[in-house]
Amino acid sequence: MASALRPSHLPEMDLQCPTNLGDVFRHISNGAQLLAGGTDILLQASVRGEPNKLVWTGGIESMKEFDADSDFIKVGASVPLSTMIKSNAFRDGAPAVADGAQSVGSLQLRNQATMVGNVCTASPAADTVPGLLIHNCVVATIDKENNKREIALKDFLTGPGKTNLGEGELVTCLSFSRLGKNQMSAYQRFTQREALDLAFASVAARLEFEEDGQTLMTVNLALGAVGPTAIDASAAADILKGHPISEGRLDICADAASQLCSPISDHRASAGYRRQLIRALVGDVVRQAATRYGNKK
Amino acid sequence: MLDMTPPKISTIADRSTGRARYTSDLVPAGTTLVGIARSPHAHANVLSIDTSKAMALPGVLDVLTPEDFSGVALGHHIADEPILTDRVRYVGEGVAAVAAVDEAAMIAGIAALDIEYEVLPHAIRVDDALALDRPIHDNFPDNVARRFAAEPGDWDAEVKRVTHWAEGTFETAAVPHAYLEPRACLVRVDGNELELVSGTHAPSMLADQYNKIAAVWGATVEVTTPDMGGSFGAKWEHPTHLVCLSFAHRLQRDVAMVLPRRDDMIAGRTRIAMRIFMRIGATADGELVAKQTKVWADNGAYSLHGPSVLLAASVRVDNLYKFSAVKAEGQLIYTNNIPSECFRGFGIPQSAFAQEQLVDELARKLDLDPVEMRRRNAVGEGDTSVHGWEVTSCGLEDCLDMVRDRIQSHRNDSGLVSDGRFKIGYGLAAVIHCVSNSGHDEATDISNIIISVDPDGTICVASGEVELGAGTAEVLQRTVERELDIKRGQFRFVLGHTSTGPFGRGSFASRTSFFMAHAAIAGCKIFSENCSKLVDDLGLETNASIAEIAKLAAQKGHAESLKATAQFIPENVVAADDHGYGNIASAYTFAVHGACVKVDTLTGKTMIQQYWAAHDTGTVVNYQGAVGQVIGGVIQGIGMALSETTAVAENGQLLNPGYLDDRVPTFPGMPNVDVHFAATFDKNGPMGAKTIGEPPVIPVVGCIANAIYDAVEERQYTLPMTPEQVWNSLNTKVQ
Repeated sequence: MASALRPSHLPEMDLQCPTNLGDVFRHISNGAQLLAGGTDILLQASVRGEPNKLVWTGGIESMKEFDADSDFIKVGASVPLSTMIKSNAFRDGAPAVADGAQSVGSLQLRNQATMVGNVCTASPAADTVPGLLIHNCVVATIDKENNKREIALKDFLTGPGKTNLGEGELVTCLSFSRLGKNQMSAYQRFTQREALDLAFASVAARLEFEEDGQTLMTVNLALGAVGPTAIDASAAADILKGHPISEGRLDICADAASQLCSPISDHRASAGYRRQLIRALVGDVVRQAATRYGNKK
Repeated sequence: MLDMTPPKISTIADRSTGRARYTSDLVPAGTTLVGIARSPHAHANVLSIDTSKAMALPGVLDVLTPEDFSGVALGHHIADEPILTDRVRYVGEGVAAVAAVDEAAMIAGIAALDIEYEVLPHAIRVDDALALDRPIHDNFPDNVARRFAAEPGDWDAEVKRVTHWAEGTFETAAVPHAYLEPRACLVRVDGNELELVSGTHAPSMLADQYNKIAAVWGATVEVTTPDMGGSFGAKWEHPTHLVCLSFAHRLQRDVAMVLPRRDDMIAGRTRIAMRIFMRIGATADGELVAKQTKVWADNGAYSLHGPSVLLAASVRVDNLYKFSAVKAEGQLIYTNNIPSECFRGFGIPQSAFAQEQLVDELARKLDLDPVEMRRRNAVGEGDTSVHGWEVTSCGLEDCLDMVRDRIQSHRNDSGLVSDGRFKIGYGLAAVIHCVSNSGHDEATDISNIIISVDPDGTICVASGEVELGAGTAEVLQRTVERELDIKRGQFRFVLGHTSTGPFGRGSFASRTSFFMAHAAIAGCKIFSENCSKLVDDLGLETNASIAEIAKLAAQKGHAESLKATAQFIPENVVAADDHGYGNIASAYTFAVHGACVKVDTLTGKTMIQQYWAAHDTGTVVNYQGAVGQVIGGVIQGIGMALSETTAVAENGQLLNPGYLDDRVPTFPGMPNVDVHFAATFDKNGPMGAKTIGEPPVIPVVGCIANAIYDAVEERQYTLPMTPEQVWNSLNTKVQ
């Protein structure tokens, strides 16, 4: 153990702001860490004293791309959450992702934070991840040899703070599917405080109705903050398929979802309580998505 | 010579537009920076400190170690807190300090220190501390810093009349003070003159204490309080001040230290966490007869105000009701937690959490309305309470009526009703509080004022009290405007500046406005008389204004003869005896709070729908400020009630050093707070005023607990009443 705790001041930092990818990779190979919005990394640096070499991707034109109108919504690594939230096309096309983006921190943080950053930090409680999972998010990467990969988000996230990004590889953008016909989605989280808080548990749901607008055809569920990464819990929703939404079936689904997760106990919440929150949230989110669907029709 | 110009005291507009200048704004670029090497261990002997590598680093100017402060300790009651320690008693305690030319050199200097520890067994819970085979302070072998006991009334005789008891064991949390401005200090130096610039609620007391220590170095200390972002009881004596004073004196350089939030919390102070066993006995017709209290208070590593907070928590809430007999005992127990300190409410929110729930429970048992229960038993004007408080005015009835009526209308009109999942509940709680506490330190419970005339004819009003953001300056200005019939701009005022202002005790025990305004009124009277005497000499008409007289007096060289000094010392108050008995204050305030909550039985989350706060403060001098104090206190209380705590790992490390996980309330989710003031006038108060200060925070926890019970019929025994905790209380029976 060190002789003394490190004072929690930010270390002196070397910050590079290149305008082309080549320079980004050059700085990475010199030991710089990627900086998107900085809302996680600066906190980390003030506690640990590192990283103190950063390369900002906000100067790269191609990473500022944000296309919310296509069938696959595409967002570059430098787009702040608040820019996305202002887009009607995004909010209508991926309501669960928009709900998550809107939940992050405060307005000031959302003006700075990016969705790619939220994904790459790989916090189990990341607010945008459950929504992205049920919207079939694909992560696009590039490395210094110009090799490009497209990885499903569920494979990209491998554990708390862990992704399968290779060394010298960076995420350029995320794409995720727009809602199709007769579909709706929603995301809710449980926090102790209404603002500036972390989810103790969160759930995103995407519903697809039959033509009658009542009977559920497919249901996708994703759970956040109750496992090493967000969990695809769609299997728990089988009971809902082929029926209109009923409290009885929702209860069974909620119980099943709470059994699919593997929460930890920490100073924020116990594992048992997090399971209970999943039970409560599954019903709330499915009902919210159904209400939204009804309002849209 | 140091330039001892007093700092400008900002207005509310300055504070809300960013023009206010806090300590960190006053630190010039290039100032020598100080950092503290903090222990990673909860309990350890420091065997050796090798400073050679640190001293050899470029930019490191000086290193201080425990030896440099040998024999020096802080502590208002028990001098037990070293400046730098060779016996670590909590994670984050300062072991050594580094002064350096910049932040990077300071951090590198701390990292280069080689400190060898002998780790000792530690205790973070009071039960563990009582069982610890190694005392935390060698001269307190059982780890009990202070014991308290009181037993007024004939217990054995009175309990025979009791037909119904309510009892419980309650646990409260070590809530951080959560002031907006983290601890910061700047020390200016010239030879043996030192000026400590730092936000503190007690600058005169600090200067007194630090001068005793600095005298050994041959130095003198003045304290300047610039704009400050809150204290709530936390910001006064602190080892970091002395570290900075010492460096400045040794190096003959101005030095500064501005703590990051995280470090401020690790090395901070907290509210005293308590376990309180309480039982209250009543007769069948609802008379509260007897009350027993046992307090186990977690002192943390050092005592600070712990002993007097223990006393307050053990008996002060008793004064609200006409108990015939009381049995109270308490112990203040050293642990290896962050040192606790007084915090707005001074231990009383903790015991009010217990008392107000038990009174509620008795009312239910006896099928009495909780308002009626309190009305029947509360003290009133002319009464002397069970611990000797003499009530000279009481607006409790008015407060009870207001809260009862508002709750009734809300029940009828809000449309809120319980359903299968969400339960609606209403609760209320009452409080009595003292205006100052002379028992705490009779000799210094005074306030001074000096009114003088500047060379340009401006009237200068200097008080020894301090503006900590609560509206002190506004009260002073209004008092002077009224008493001297002058306008803003025709006078300036000085607060919290020991070099040019007089002595004042500072913001303790909700005393500031009461004491300061009394002194100001007396001073203004003398100043007016001095002005009248000069009218003829100056060749002015007898109806000349005070401002005119001062202007002309300055021009003609008579300014000195106008100078007025006055002092307020409360009459008919005494220091409480060892058992907490005595009329400790000139006046007592009352309040009743009410809350409507909605509890989600699926998650245990409590959502406050509406809040009512009725206060008897005597004459309201500064309405906007008073409303602000009430709303601020209620929201602070909501944090204590529902979400705030310190989470400590088994190794003693603080797990939530920041406002993400110490959940101070945010605006979303906060209820509307309906504020009401009772129409009372206290003969002992300046202009009939009493105080606002602490009372707004005190009843909140009990009030919300009662509302939660009303909603879900489960008593809440532990703070904070987090969603998980409430959910557990609803589900323990099932499991």
